[in-house]
Amino acid sequence: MRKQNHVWWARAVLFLLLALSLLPVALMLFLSLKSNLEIITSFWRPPTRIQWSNYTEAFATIHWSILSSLFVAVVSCGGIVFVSSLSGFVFARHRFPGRELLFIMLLALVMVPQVLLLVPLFVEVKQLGLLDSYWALILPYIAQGQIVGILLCRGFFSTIPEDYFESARLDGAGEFTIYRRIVLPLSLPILTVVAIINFHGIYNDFVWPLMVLQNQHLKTFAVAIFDLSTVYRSEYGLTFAAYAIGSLPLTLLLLAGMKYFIRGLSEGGLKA
Amino acid sequence: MTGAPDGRRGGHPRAPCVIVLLFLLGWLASMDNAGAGGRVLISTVKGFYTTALEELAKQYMGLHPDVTVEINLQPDNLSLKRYYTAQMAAGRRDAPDIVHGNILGVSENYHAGRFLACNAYLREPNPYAGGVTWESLFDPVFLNSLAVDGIHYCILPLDYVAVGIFYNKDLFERFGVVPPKSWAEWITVCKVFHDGGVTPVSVPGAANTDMAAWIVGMLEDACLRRFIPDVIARPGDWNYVPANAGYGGNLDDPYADQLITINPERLMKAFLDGRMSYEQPVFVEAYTHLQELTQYYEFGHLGTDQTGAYNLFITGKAAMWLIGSWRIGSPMRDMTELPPDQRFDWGVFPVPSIKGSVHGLAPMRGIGGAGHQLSVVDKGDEEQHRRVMDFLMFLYAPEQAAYLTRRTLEVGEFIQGAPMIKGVKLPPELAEKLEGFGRRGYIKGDLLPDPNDSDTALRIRPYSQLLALGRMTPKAFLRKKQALTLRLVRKIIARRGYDLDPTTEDHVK
Amino acid sequence: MMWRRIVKARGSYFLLIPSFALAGLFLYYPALSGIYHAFTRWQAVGASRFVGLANFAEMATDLFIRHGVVNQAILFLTDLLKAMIFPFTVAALIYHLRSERERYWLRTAFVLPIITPTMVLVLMWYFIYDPNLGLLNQTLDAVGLEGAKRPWLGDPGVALGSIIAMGFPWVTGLSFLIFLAGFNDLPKDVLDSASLDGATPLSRLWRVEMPMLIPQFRLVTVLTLIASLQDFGRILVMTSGGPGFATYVPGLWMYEQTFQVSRFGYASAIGLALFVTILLGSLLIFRLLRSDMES
Repeated sequence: MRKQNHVWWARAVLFLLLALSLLPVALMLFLSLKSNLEIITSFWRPPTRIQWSNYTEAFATIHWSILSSLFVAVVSCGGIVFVSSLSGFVFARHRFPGRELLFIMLLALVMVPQVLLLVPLFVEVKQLGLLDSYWALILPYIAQGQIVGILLCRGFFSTIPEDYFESARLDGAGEFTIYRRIVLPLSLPILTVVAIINFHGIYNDFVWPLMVLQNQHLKTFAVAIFDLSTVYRSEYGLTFAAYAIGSLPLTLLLLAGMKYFIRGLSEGGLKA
Repeated sequence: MTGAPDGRRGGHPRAPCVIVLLFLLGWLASMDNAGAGGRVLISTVKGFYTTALEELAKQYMGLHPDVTVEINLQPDNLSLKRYYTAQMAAGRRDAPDIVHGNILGVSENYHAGRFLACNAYLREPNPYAGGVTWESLFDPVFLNSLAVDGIHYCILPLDYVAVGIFYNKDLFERFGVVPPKSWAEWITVCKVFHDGGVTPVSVPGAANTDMAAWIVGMLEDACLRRFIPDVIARPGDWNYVPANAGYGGNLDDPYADQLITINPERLMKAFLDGRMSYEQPVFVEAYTHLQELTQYYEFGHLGTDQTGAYNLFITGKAAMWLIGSWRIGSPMRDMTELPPDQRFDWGVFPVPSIKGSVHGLAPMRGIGGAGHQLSVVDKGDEEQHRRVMDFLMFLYAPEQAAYLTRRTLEVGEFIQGAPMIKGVKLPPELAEKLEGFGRRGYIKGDLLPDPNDSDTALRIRPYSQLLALGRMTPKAFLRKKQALTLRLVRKIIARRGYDLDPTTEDHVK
Repeated sequence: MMWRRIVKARGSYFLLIPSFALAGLFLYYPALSGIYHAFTRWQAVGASRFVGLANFAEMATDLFIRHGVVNQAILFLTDLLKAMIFPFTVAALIYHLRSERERYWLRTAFVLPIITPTMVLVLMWYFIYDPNLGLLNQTLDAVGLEGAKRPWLGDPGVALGSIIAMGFPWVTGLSFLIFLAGFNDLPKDVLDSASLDGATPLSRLWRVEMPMLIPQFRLVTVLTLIASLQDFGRILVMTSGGPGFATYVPGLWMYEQTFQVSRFGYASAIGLALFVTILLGSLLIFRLLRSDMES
């Protein structure tokens, strides 16, 4: 009897919270179909005329930028996943002098405020001649994203029984082969988690690309969004339509990787 | 428990090699390919005559095939600041050549050695204007009002930005009021609307909009003019000009002080001695009037941004909208898109003066702000400066300047206010609305140590907000402002190297 | 001796090169540059002047910092509560559901909102809080609670609260994922024996499950500390620190000092102070929340 009740209100609470969590998404789609003036004058009422032109106009402005963002995000996440898993593996399963110290040295970097880094990093990127290229985005993203990735991977790898590696080593495999053949496949779930978390952050970042990309053709999605409005007038309808379109890649990625994602959460043991 | 791995067979570590390769690729891919002749880089905010500017740049490149003019667009002022700051920190060679001086703070940049003084170039003949001196193309009154200590850091703007009050004529008619001619009348009108359940004045008060600064500028100008006799340059002072002799101190003439010079050392001394001070009665009077007005701002004005304030006006919930001429395009366009029953007739009236002042408040004048104010970055490279100045001469020749305004209107972009270039025709409706801002002269910026100092602006902001909420008395607020001003005065004296002797010119030109 | 061990471990070091090369180049170099400038007076142009601890002395008397620290403390504590209570509760509720399919779908559904760009959320909440035309005040009007209307972002008394309330119901996010994973990791046998002993679900949660999830709590706390002290973006867009000093935080002041006033030295000093706070805070958290499971 008590179990029935327990389940009943648990479900109610869950669905309520779910509805509230999904509200922003719904609102974004709702507003994207209204004209700017209608958003201003009657925000919450349904549109009198569905403004499909928001989508066509937004698409025309931002379609290249989505590809740019995808390129940057995919390459960055690829790099992050690679470096995180490699270093996470080393930290988890190797013993060497200074292991803890080196790990803390990496972890401490995440604690440095981002704003502090902006200008010196810009100066450095410029001196390296990377300005106005995607590498100015990708390399710092990998450098920053790897830290939490290493943290999570290390936690994951420390739970794997030693025998997996023992037998491979006895067969004479080098460390990198072990990494490639054993570690990587095993850790797909946790790597999916790392990839998706970073993908989201990189895809939506606009402060750094705005500073570093001067060539207008290289714009990323988050920057191109600003092209829809002017200083005098924010075009909300267009902006929300653009965000809706831009969210598609991440949504598809999420849905595709959901299986691994959830598995990564179930098996992985996300802990420090 | 494994020891360190020692097997080396297989798995040659490719990781580091890949990283290095990536690096090389990246470096190669971004090789600088500046043209052989030279490059002029403009950093501007999107929407400021953008289309016309791009077209003129192309035209110029057609005339000068060896020069590349690049335009870097930033979405808003904050982004422009970030971009500029980062570029300057990374070394000036590739930093922008032309930037918006007014957004970045003209005088602080000049005195940090970042902006170029344009005096010499202004005296040269402009080849794109038939060879007359560049200076002669501008209105001397306005040109002077933008100079700091006689140095021109900015080229005259294209347009003159004014602050005024947009009002809903239909609502005014319904409530039986007319545009007020004095501040007291204005308060009365506000009260009528307030009692009738309509928001009297809609103001964007959110911190990042800074509307408060505009009206404060007008108000303080009204206070400061009585101090001119104290700080005007006298015969023997380094910046004395003959026009100063003719200054009669007539506060009712808004143009009386436009061509006279204020001696900065006298100004600094006046503040240090306490002869000029924010705590004087004239300021208290002005700020008391201001605080009275703020009670009629819309509910929650400090949490309302540009859009929110505009919304109230365009939906007819607010009778008046305190904003600048750069927004004139919005209601003009939106009114045609609204359903017919929601449209209304509207106009503009200027901020009314405080009449019958006890402590000598002068009438209100125009903000005389520059919308599009371009400065040149000092790169220590004479050849580059010439190149940049040549492009600016092209841009500011009458024909091109007129094109900028005309073309902007054609493509439906917004202009910021009445154009400053002679001979530009505006569509009649636009001209009529712009008339509403009135022609009342311009506030004199040199009556303050540095009205655009960002540090002071940041630090006074919380107190301005508390004042607007009625949580701080004018006297308490003015005490804080005075303290910050004295701090600024000392900073400026140090920064500009003043020796406080009015007869000697101290700082480097 | 030590040297021998290092040489023997050269393979491990070698494999760590990618991480450290990237970190060294793109994190250490700028961070150290920033930290160095904390002790200088630098306007970003020209030479910097070494001034020792002058910047820190200024920080101690800076009103913006004083108010900022108080606000930041409040924000951190509320961020922590939000990260602990809601995601944990939802993760726990999902975990205790009978049907595997239901669990799967609910997990997916709660993760989905992560696709919403942050700017969309911020704009949304701005519309909700608009004093005259926003959802909150209009709703209060509609249900007859006009007296409860406030200028949510325009009144110093409620502005901070409004910022805290943003993002309700605060479920989706990294904390949720961490707790989800943590619950799934719980060994079944321990839980079965606990319920066999006749413990109610609630007491089982409190006595058995939560202690086993201390590593997750620890991770969430540290991540929240790091994020909270650095995050000023939402404040910048919503109120820029106002009205008055109500929503100022040191991170925002640091940003303004860098980009509005170009006082890099001072800004770096604030940055350094924030960094040290986060570092010490994290160490403290690891010390306090040590789990018995991990000896």
